[in-house]
Amino acid sequence: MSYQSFTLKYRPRTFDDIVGQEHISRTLKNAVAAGRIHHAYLFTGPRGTGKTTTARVLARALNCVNGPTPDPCGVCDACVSILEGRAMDVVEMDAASNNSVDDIRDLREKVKYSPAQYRCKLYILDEVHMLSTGAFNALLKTLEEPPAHAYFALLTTETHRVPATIISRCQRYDFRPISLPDQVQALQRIAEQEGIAVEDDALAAIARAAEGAMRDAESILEQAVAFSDGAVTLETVRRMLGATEGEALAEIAGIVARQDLAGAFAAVDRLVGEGKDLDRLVEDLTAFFRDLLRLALGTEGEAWLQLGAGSRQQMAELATSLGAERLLAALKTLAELRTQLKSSSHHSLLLEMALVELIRQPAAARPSVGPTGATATSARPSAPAVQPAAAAAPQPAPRTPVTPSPSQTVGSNLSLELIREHWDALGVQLRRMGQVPLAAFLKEALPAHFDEGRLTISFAPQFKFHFTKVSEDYRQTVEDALSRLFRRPITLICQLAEEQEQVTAAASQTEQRAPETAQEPAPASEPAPPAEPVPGAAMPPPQTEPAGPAAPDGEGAPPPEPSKRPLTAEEAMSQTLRLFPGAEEILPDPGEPDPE
Amino acid sequence: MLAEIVGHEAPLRVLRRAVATGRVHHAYLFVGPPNVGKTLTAIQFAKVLNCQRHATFADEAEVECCDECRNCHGIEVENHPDFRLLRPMTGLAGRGDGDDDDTGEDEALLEIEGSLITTGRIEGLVASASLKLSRARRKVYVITSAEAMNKEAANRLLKTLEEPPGSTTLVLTTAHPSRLLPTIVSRCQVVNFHPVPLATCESFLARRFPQAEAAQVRTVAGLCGGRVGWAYRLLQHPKVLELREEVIGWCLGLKTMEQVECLRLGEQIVGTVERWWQATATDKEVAEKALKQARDRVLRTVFPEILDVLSSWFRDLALAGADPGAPQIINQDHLAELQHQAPLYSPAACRKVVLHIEELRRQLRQNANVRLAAEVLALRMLTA
Repeated sequence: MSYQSFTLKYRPRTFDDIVGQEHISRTLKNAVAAGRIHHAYLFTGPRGTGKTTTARVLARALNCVNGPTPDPCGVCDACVSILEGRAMDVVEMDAASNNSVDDIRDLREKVKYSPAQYRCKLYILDEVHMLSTGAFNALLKTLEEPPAHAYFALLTTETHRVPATIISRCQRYDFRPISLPDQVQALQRIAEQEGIAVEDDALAAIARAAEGAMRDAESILEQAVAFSDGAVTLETVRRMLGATEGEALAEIAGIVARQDLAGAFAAVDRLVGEGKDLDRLVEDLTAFFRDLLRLALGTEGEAWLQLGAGSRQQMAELATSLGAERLLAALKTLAELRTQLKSSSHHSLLLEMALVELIRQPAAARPSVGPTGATATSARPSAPAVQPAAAAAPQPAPRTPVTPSPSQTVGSNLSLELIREHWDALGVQLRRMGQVPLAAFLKEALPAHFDEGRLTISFAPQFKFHFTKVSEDYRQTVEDALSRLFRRPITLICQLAEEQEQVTAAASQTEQRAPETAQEPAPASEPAPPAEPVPGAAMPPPQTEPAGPAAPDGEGAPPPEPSKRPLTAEEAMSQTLRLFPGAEEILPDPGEPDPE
Repeated sequence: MLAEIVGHEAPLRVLRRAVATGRVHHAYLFVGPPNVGKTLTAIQFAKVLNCQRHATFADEAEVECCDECRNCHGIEVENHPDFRLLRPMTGLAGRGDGDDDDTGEDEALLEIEGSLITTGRIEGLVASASLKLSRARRKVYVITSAEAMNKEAANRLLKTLEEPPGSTTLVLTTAHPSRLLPTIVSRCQVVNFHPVPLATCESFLARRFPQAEAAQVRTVAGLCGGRVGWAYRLLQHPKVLELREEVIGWCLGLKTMEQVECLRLGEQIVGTVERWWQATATDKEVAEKALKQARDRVLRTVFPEILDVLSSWFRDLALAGADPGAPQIINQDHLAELQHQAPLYSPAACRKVVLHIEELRRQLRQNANVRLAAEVLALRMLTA
C-alpha cells in the first residue's frame, strides 16, 4: 500500500510507545517480566485510547524470540509476522461479525491445539460486547481454564454489555481518555517524524478537539496537514474545525446586550455564509458567556478562554452591561440549544431562535405568570431600550441587604406558620436537587410543631410508608434542604398521627385531614400574586418584606378559603424569595417581588 | 465531474489535495444537512480515484475525472465490481418484481423514514472488501445515511473501517453524526459539508432552470436553506410551489380562526402532506403504491418538508417584527403580508412555534401519530 494514514502508520509498537496509559503498560510489562501473565485480560475504555494496540503489543511481548519479554524486539520473525497480521497463533477476531455460538464453538475446538509457530496462542476478541448471550456463555468455561498455551484479550468500549461472569474471569484494565499534554507530546513526535512544522498552539487545539481519543487527534492532525499549505498553524486548524474567532463571539454578545434582534439574524446569516460550524460556534459561545459571567461575578481565574485574550477591556464592558443574572439565563438557554442541535439539522434556525430568547431575557426575569400574554409591542425592540437600565439597576440592590444579615431577617422570625407557608417551596427545592420521590413523600406531611430549631412534621396514619421512608432514609437530606431554605440549622422530627395526638392539641388533627387547605394562608393573607408589573419598576428593598407575612403569627391558623386556588410552585417560590433574600442562590429564576 | 458540485469549496479542497498528494484516507465521514450533495460528492470522488484517463495529477486544481471511460461510467450507473453504494432500504416493493438485492429498490422510494441498512448488506460489503481489485485502482464503498445502520451492522463495520484490506476507501455520509457510534466516527476522517450559500444556490438554479421566473428561483433558493438537492427537486415539480402557497395561506388566516378550528386545520395539513408526496414523485405509480403500502411512513417522510415552510414563516415573522425590510427574510415573495402580520406576533411566540416544530420533527422520526401531530401543531400555531 502506497499511503498509510497516521493512525495506522504510528500505531505504537512497544509498551513504552503507548501514550497516556502508564498504569496499564507498566503493569503488563512487569507481569511479562515476572512471568506472571494472566490467562484472560479485559481491556475497556473509550474509543481511541489504545486497547487494540496494547493487545497487539502483548501478543508480540509473549511471542518474541527473546523469550516472553517486556520489550519485544520488532525484528524477529514472530514480531514481524504479528505486526503484519499473518501469525497463525495470534487470532484477532472481530466479535461483532463473529458473534454467534457457532463462532465460539469453533474457537473452543481450536484453542486446545498447541501453537503452530511460536510460544503461545493469543486470542484477541475485539468489540467483544457484541457477542450474543449464548456466545458469552459458551466462552465461560474456556475463559476460566484455558490450556496452558492459550491467552485471551477481550476488548470493548461498552463494559456494561459484558456479563459479570465474563468480567470476573478476566483481569480488567480500564483505559483512560488521554490527557491533553500527553496528546500534544505524541502529536509533536508524529509531526517531527513526518517532517511537518506544526505550531504548539495548533497541536493543543487539535488535542482539545479530539477529546481524549488519540485516534481522533491523529486523524485531525492528518487532515490539518492535508488542509494547509506548508506549516500547520493555529489559524488553519481553527479554520478547518470551523472555529469562531473571539471578535465574532464578542459581536454576538454585544448584539444580545444591545437587544438588536435584526442584528442577530444578520450575524447568523453572515456566519453561515462564512461556512462556520454552528455546533462548534455554540460551544465557543457558551465558553465565552461563561467567561463573561466570571467577569461579572468578579472571580478572576487562570483558565481563560484564549479567544478573548486580546480584548479583556471589551469583555469587561460586556459583562457589566449584561449582568450576572442575564448571563446565567443565557447560559441556560445555550445549554438547551446544544442538546437541540444534536438532534436537528436546522442549525441556523435554532441558533436564531436561541438569540431571540437571549435578547428577550430581561423580560423573562419577571414573574412567569403571563409571559405568553405579553403583547407584541411590549416585547418589541422599541421597548427594550428602557429595559437594560432596569435590568442592570435592580441587580446590585438585592445583594447589598443580603450579606449583612441573612440569618437575622429570617432566623429570628422563623415560626411554624412561616414554615407551613413555604412548605411547597421545600418540595420545589427537593425536586431541583433530584429528590423527586422525596418531594412527593413530604407532600403528605404537615409541619406540626416548631420550637428552638426543632421541626416536628406529622404524617396521617395511612401514610405510614411515607413516614418510615422520610424518617429512616431521608432525614438528613430534608434537614439539609430545610436549613438551606430557611438559613438556619433545623432538626427534623417525624411522627405518625397517633403519636402526635398525645403531643399536640387535638386541633392539629383537623389540619391533617386537609393538609392542602392548611397551606392556604399564604394566598389568603397575601395580596394577589404579582400579575403584570410595570416594566422597569424599581425593586423594593427585600428587608422590608418579612413584616407582611409575619402577620399571621398573631392570628393562629387562619381559616382556609376554598375560593382561593392553591399556590403554584412558582408563586410559592417567589413568595419565599421575598422572605429569604439569600434564597435566590439556591432557587434559580426568581420572580420579581410585588411592589408594595 | 467534481466541477459539477455546487458550493462546498472546503470539502472539495480537502479531497482534491488528498488525491493530488497521494494521501487518500481509508475512511471518510461526510457530515452535513440532507440534500446538500454529500452522496454526489462521494460518487464523483470514487470516479476521480479510478478514472482511466486521469491517473496522475500535477497539482490539486487538476484533480478531475473524465466521465467517459469505462470506470467513470460504471461507477456513475452503479455497475462496477469495485464500487458499491449502500443506501438504507425501505423494505417496500417498488415498480419491479420487488426482489431484495441492492438494486431492486426504486429511485422514487429512496429515503423513506424508517429505512435501514441491515447486517446482511454490511456483511456482504466486508466480505467483498477483502477481494482483489478487478479493474479499478481503488475500491470505493459508499454508505449513505450511515446512521440508518442498526447496532449490529455498525459494529460489524468497525474492524473493516479501521483497517480495510488492500486499497479500499470507505465513504460514509450522514446528517446526524450524533446518532452514529462514537467508535465509527473516530475511525473516519470527518469532512464537514455546510449549507450552500444563497447566492451560489440561486445562480446554480437559475442556470439549471432557465425557463423559471427569477422571483420563483430566488424564493426556492431562500427556502431550501442551502440544501441544493432539495431546491432542485422543488423546481422540478412546480406543483409543490402551489402547495407552499396553500401552507402560507393557512398562516395568513391564523389570526381570524377560532381555536376549535385546529382540528380542521390538522386535517388540511395531513391532506397537503399527502399531495406533497404525490407532487414530488418522479414515478406516480410507485408513489401511489408506496402510499398504499406504508402510508404512515410516507407521511412521516414528507411532513418535515411542510414543517420547513412553516418554520421559515414563523422565523420571518420574528425577523420582520424587528426589521421589516431585512434582506435575511426567506419568504421575500410574501414580504408585504409578513410586514402586515408581524406586529400580531411577539418574537417569543414565534420562537415557541419554531421550537415546537423542531420537537415535532424529532417525534416524527420516532413514532408519533401523524394526524395527532398535525392537530397539535395547528393548535400551537393558532394560540401563538
